[in-house]
Amino acid sequence: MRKVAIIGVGITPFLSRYLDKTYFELAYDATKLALNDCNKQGIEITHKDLESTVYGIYNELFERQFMPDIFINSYIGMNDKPGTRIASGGATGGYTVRMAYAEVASGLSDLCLCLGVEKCNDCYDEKTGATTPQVLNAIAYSADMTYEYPMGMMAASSYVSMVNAHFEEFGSPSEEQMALVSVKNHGNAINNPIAQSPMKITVEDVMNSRIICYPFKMLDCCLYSEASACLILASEQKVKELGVENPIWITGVGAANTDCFIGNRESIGRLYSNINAAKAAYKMAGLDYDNIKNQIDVAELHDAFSGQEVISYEELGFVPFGEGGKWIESGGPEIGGELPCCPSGGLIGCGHAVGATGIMSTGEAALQLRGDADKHQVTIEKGRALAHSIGGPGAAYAAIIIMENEEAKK
Amino acid sequence: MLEEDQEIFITKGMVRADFDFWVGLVMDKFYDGLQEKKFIGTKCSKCGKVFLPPRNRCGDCFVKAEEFVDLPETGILKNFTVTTYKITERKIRKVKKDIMVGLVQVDGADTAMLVPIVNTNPDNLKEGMKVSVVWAKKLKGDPQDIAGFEPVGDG
Ligand SMILES: [Zn+2]
Repeated sequence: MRKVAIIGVGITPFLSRYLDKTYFELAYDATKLALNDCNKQGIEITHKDLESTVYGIYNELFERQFMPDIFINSYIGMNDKPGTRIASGGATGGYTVRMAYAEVASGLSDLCLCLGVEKCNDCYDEKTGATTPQVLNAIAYSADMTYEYPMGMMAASSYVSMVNAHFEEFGSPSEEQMALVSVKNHGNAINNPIAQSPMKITVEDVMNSRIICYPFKMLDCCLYSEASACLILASEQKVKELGVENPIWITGVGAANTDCFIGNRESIGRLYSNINAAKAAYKMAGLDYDNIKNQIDVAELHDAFSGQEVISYEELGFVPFGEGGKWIESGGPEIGGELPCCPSGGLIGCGHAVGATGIMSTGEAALQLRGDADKHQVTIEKGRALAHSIGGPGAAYAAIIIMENEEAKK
Repeated sequence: MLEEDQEIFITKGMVRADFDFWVGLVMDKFYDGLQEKKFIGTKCSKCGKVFLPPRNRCGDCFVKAEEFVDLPETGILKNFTVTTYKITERKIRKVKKDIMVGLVQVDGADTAMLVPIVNTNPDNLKEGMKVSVVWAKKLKGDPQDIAGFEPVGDG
């Protein structure tokens, strides 16, 4: 396989609703931001140089459109070029990066656009004036329709069962430890201009917010968002040709789909998709599952719910099983800690625009390695970052991307 | 294997999406225009291409196309077909009178749009013939405001 680098990043603000834009206009904006990001670095390319697109769009009902990618294709000037859409639940973004990587690594393209977008809040029922029930329904259809959906399975209840089982098995995370994630990520978002939910809050605020699905409270959950995020990927030859000074190489792409029926798993409290995706990504990047915490500078995790971030510390190998809760108490994942997690604010701080989310996380991690994360920049010493995406029924899908900046390592 | 007298469990179609969504700034303006018997298109600020139905980005030039232009009620029939079936909410049924649909490029526009062809019969249709809009009796600001296009003069 050929080497692949991220050379441009474009992320629109994550908002509760864009009243003035359609989803294809949002996708256009992110593409333009990514092209501008290239141009600012002195990389002379336009949309005409892009050879293909891989689209990350989770849900037809959000966009009120089957095959929404083909309409974007026209709006962003990619007519008569190949385009493929990826839809893998909450992990759509990470999977889209993986497939865009494959597009370039395989030699099919030298310059590939990796574009995610979602515009859920147009699921608005004018008769009732309500958005949330429509959006949640559109998400709930991701559950098995022959049994789980009619029984009332929703996204939060699906995650709660796994987090509760994890606590039963390993004694981590407690409600207060989960609340610390919410405090950290809402706080980190204060320094990120694209974030939807920047907040300075305390553990008490989280504990006192209303219960959504025990033990998750309001402030333990991410908000759904509208946004688009875009990466431009280039082959090694193209990196040389264009004279890219600060390419962020993708060195590991790991993904795994575990059993979508939680009750079929050996242990309900373990996300095997996380564990296997991490091991695959680390192996490809030549890193070590048992020592990963010391091999990377920053991780952008998929914290749709605070408890999920804590169990990811353990499943991705940052700390042994059962120690995730203690690790956040010790400040390990804080900016300035052992391994900063979600310095962007993550999903809890930025919001969750499903197809765009994992691409935003990967883009944020790439900007960190480039030293371009502005006010939420962390210290880069090892020159490596991780981005994590997970989702689908029972978090069955997971994708992990490892990136490196060779300059930063020197 | 199904037993001969076995009843099967059939569940209701559960995917429903009862919600309204916004068609975007330019299509909103387009539908408002229809209600006033006007075609409103957009023009690319770079190549000058005029889009009808309007869109506010020109993909080829990768720039905004936010200048609105008023267009006339006449155009050219680029292509057409005749269909003898129609889908209703209940079934697909044969129609009493053939339905004609065509792609019409309104004068001054660079794109063609899908419309019904009315007040003529299939034998009279020719590619490249002149056509003119027939507005619905009751205008509501939606696609059905365009009752169709009919041939002008000898076409
Ligand atoms: Zn143009």
